[in-house]
Amino acid sequence: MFESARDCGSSEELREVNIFDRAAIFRQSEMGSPTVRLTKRWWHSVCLVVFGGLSAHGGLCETTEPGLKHFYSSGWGIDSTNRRYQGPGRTSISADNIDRLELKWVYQLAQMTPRSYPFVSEDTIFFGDSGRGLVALDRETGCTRWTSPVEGVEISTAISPARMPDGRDVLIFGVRQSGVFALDATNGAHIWHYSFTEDHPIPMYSGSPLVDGNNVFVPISSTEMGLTMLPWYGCCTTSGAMGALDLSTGAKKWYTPTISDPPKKTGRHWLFVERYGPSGAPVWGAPTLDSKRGVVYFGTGQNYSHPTSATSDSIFAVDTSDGMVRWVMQATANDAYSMGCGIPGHPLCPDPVGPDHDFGAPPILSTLRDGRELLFAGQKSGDVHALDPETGAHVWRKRIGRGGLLGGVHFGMAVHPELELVFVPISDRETGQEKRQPAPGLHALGMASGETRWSRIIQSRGCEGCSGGISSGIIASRDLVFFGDLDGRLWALDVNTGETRWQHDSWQQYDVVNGDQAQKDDEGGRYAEGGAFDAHGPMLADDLLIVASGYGNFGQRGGNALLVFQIKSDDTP
Amino acid sequence: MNESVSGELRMQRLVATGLDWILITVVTLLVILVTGILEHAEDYANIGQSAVNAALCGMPAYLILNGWLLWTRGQTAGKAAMSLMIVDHQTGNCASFWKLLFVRALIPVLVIAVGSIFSLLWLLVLVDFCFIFRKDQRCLHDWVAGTRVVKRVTHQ
Repeated sequence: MFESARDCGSSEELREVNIFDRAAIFRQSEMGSPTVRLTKRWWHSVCLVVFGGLSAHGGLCETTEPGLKHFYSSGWGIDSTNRRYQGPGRTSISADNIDRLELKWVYQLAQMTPRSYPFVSEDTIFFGDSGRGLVALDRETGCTRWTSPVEGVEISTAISPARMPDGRDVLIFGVRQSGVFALDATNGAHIWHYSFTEDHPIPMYSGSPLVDGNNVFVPISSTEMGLTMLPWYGCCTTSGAMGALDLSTGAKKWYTPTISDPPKKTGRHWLFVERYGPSGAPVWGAPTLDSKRGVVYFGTGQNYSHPTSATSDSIFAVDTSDGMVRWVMQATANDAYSMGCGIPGHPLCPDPVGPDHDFGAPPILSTLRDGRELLFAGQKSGDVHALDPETGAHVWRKRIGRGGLLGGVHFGMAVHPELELVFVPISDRETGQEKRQPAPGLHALGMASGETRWSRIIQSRGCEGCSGGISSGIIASRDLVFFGDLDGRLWALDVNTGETRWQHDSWQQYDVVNGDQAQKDDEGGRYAEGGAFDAHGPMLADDLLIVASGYGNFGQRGGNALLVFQIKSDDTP
Repeated sequence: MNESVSGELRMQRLVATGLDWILITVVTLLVILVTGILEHAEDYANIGQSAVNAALCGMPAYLILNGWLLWTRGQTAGKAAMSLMIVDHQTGNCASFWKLLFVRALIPVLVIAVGSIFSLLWLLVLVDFCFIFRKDQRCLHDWVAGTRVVKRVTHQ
């Protein structure tokens, strides 16, 4: 009767469950008779209570096993070169049918600052629902196939698929302060977990991992950035890094810090706390694979303290086999900035203070029609760099807008390989520290020389704290480019002209598919709220557009709506 | 010097408690600064341990700020500022130092510590404070420690 024994109703099975393998406890099994179903539901409710309501099990699916034959991305960048381009074979949404793009269903996320990126198979959407775990949702209805709670709070990255040597399909993703996880895609069962704590005392996993063969490349930043708010903290000693893990076991293969010199004591500040440096150069974004050269590329952020290093605000090329650095291109030198700088007179603000011109966005490797390859990198300064992937030398460089602390390029650009366009989303939020003219919106540059083909400035709603800037990642298709702005509006623009083809305002309350397990609001309703679009941005798969609305950091509007849009079929009444 | 019981102490006690929390926080930060207990990246590798360390710094901070006052006059810094003092409920004399320190002061700390693990237990702090609306104006921690708070009046 209980053949699918890893349901939490089976005490015998529970004994076999690893402490981290609570996915097995929560996973909904194949349903049998109505009696069995009710029994299992009852046990499920018990589990919900026992585990503090971590799971989101309204609207459970009858079939729990997701289809895993066809995937629509290989990680953050859709493909491993991070082009964020979804070709006609993977999306049917186009300028011809975009007017029929309608909201299909909405899933209520547990937290108001979602940071995951939808990973889609032929029948399932996987998403990091921070506070609940990784969830597998039915594409058609939004019902939950399984929920796999993970250690830590915030699932902070995109999800990369991989196939283990034993044939299991796994999902690889990062949890902000806990490390990298590998889960069985079939049922959410825990396979391995790794954190680079041997090499780094306080690593942070913000950039998305990338899988290539039996390698998992892991970008590493540091929670030290936040510690610089504390005046008693001895700032700063940590370095960003790129690490590689063995896909089969989760064991470390290599670890390459972005600052090779160990930090040294450089003095004390007026509270007698010691200062250290160099530090910082965190890796915020996903790596980019160049399989031809056997290299991964990635960008770094600023230094946290003086002395600065020659590797901050840089693009790295490192060997995939051993992590040896092939080349480094530093775009902004002597950039030391810490979060303490947001507080006047803070002793941990470096002096002189730099402009905070990180490379937060992953580089993009793309090929021009003439066969040349270029590596495109967007910076918070608003600069777009086109580099020779062989040497890191500049082919062209163009600055757009104002840049700054919350300006320039944040989460990521996209390219259109056929049209040879680089789409550059510019945030340019007002922070009162920059003097150049802002250019919040989307800009299309020619790949070969960086000339502006079109610019689309996005006007803010005009409310206090609002901004029309684009901080989140974007995605392009054959004739459209999709993005969400900080004011909660979702756009589809024509790739050739930048004209609006479709728009959706997410600053609203949505009915949700989570059913009676969705959280209630103050008035007892079960809704999801839309907010600012930020982080990893929209995803395209077949006739679906999927995006999370809400991002409560930096004074932006939080939200907890996972929106799924679909092209309404011609024969739908 | 005589002490007489004041009728309406609630507001003074609230202000005194607020002052105590502010002052203890400031002195705790100074203790953290001087000891360097949270100065290095390794000290934040385990967030739970960091929180415990910070809380442990609060204990010497409490003693530094209030030890002498409690020993000599049954007052914390906040209560001294509001001319309040803690006395033994039965005798009306100064309460014993060990009761003030290890029973009365520790109860809210324990509640907060437990509440940080089981969040609903934070409500116990409210329950504790709500006891002040009883006629005798004794909070739960007063009941447990056998104390009450009175207005300190100095007669020349």
